[in-house]
Amino acid sequence: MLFNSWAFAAFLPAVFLIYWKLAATSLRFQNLFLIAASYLFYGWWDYRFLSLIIISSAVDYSVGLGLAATEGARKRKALLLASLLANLGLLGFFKYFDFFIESFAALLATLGFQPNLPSLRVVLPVGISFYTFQTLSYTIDVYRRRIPATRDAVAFFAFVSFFPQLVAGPIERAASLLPQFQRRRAFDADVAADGLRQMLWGFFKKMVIADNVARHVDVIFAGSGDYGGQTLFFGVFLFAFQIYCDFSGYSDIAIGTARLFGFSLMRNFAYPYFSRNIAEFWRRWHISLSTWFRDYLYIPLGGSRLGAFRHHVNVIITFTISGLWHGANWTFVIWGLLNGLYFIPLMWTGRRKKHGAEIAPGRVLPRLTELAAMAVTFAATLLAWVFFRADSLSHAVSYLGRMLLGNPFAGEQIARGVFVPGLTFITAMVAVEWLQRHRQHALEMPGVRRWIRWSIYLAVALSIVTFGSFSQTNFIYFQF
Amino acid sequence: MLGRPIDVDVRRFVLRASLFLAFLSVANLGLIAAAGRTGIGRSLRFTNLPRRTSSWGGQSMVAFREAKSVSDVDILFLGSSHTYRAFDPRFFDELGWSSMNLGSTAQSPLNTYYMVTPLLDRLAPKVAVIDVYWLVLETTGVEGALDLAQNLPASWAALRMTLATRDPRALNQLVARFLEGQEALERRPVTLRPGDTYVGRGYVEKAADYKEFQEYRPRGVTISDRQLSYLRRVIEELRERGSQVVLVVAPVPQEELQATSNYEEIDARMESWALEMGVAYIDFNKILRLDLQDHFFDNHHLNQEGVSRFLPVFYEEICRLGSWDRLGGSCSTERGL
Repeated sequence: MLFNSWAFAAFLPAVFLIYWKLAATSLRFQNLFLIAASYLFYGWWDYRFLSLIIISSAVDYSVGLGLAATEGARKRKALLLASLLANLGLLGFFKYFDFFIESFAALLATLGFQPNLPSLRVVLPVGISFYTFQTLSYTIDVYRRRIPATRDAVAFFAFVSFFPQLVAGPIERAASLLPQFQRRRAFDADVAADGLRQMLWGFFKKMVIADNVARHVDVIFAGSGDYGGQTLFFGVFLFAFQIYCDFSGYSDIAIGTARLFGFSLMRNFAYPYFSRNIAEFWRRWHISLSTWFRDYLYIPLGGSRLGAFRHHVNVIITFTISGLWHGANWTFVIWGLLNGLYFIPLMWTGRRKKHGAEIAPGRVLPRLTELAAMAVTFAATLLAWVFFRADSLSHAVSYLGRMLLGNPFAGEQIARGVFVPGLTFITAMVAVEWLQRHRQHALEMPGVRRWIRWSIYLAVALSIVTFGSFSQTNFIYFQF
Repeated sequence: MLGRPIDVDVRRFVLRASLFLAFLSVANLGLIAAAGRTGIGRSLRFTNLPRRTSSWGGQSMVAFREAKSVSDVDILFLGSSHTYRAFDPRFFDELGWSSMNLGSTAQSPLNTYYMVTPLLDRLAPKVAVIDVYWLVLETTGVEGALDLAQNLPASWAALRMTLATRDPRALNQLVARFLEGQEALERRPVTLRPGDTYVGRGYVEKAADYKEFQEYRPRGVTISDRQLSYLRRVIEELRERGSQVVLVVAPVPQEELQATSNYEEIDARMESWALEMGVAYIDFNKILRLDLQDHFFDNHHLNQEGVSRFLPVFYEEICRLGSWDRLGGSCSTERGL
């Protein structure tokens, strides 16, 4: 079920009312209801893939119990390995089987062989990359004795399948989310109201900006061989905002929805396009994934503790694998690698952690140097987004070649007037987010008079109704 | 367990959220009404606002008005603009057959199902000809719904049609039409496109010297399964009333066929679909080749010269099916060619 669908518009109020009606009964019953609602939410796409979530939940719940009952190091490792094999096995088969087979076949072909390897055209179950990482974090943390194993199967299954963040995150840690299923939730009207505001902003970004500019992005990338540099630049510029508004919009809706049910999810985006270098960008973009890779890959690889060379290698490995996590295509691998390479100069100059959490604190506008740093960082992400969006490596290279090396005014151009509405919405969104950059989300306005706040909410809601796309387009990250 | 009262805070929260939605609905209605009167929605791109109501009363407004006083027709024509620009009632008058053309702009099977099938009991056509131009079968039905919502009296059928499109533009157009009032619709002048003459019974004639060609762009077409399911429902409704159904594709220029990269595939799919449904399907592009400059006024619509070349061939082909038999006609090749 999509957040931006009529089905969800009916599903959410119904589940909300029943859920809070059940609050006076047992916690277990309320959690059971959440599991049922989450399975209905997921099964709306394809009920057959529910079995994968159930398998993943059952494996990690059992492994957790096994780890709790075992002290022997070898047996504990074996249990962890079983969980890794099961989860990464599912992910590997459904997401990467065809990719590896086709890549291997291509490699053999370059060596002069004519392989006839099977390609299964496996259908990718929605959200598999997200929930497998979430359950893995539980098993690894239990293995590391950072959290105790839970004996409450209902709470655990509800934790894995919790519908607001099931299909595209934020990828939660068991230490943070699981205990929330194990204690009674009390309804807090202020938190729920703020959740609705966050959802409202998420819908604005998704339906008004992402889905509207997507039409232009699709046309430009599909016809990139005909367009001149100027149009190609607009294409990737719009894509940068499409993917930001699509994914951060999804995250806002997910976090806001969870708050309606008394749950607190981790922040996933913190205004990343205001970053002053690429390291800061990655502290602000898809935070739940970046921190997952930091905690479960980069640090176990040795992080920065094993000398400069290993540090460089670890950064490159982490980013490259993070790229591959996004999709079974070499374009994502190069996108990850490129972001890793962007880090190297920062490591040489020791500026990786230069910028703190606040941007232009106490000032309305950034300093010129900050603005320049933001522009350079944004330009670097634009180059990388070309690989992320392109269909293949050759497509990305030819796109970049035409955009950067060709005559920007040659070839076919899309009339700039076509972009005006999209650019207007983007400008409005950037302005609002800049003014609210120290807040958790853009519509958080404590201390502002109620009638002003309500006018603003009404204006945002009206702009969704008036300018939003109701074509119920999938969220981009669902494919990952 | 569900019998317990819900928390007071939850109830208050729901009330506040409902109040906000009520404000939003009122503000949205105001915007729709303003857009309907001023036409501001048309000058803004990306907008879901309705088009200006008063300046747009086209062929469908008159055709459906006329249809109110028509009953028991021999032939009923349904479909998009290809229909109301191809099937000239004067041709069938000469044969002594009554006809009604209820084609309308971008009318897809979804639109036909909601807006025309309620009229079938009265119209009771002996033969129903449905044009199934592939570009219309690809649509969601929103363009057709915009035209019909705007030009017909607001009704439950129109509401069901606009909701079925799942597009707020159609619903907003209907709301604007409703807010405009019934009297305004009756007073609204008929505005046709340049070069158009409204002949009657839904048919629009285009002057032979009028041209507005554009460059052809290659494209593939994906026929919507949803539209096919509505087409199935329309056919079933017609059959229940004893009508004989014929699916046709009126001629388009060769340039249009060439620009449609999967034309053969679409045609084969429609042919097998019609076979499965047990209805005749005739693609006139396989029978008749017309000239872009002489027989069309734009990239895919016939002008009057094209119509006069097409209709005799249409008559002959339908003759072969035996459909005219039920109208008491004779299949004379002299009549046709």
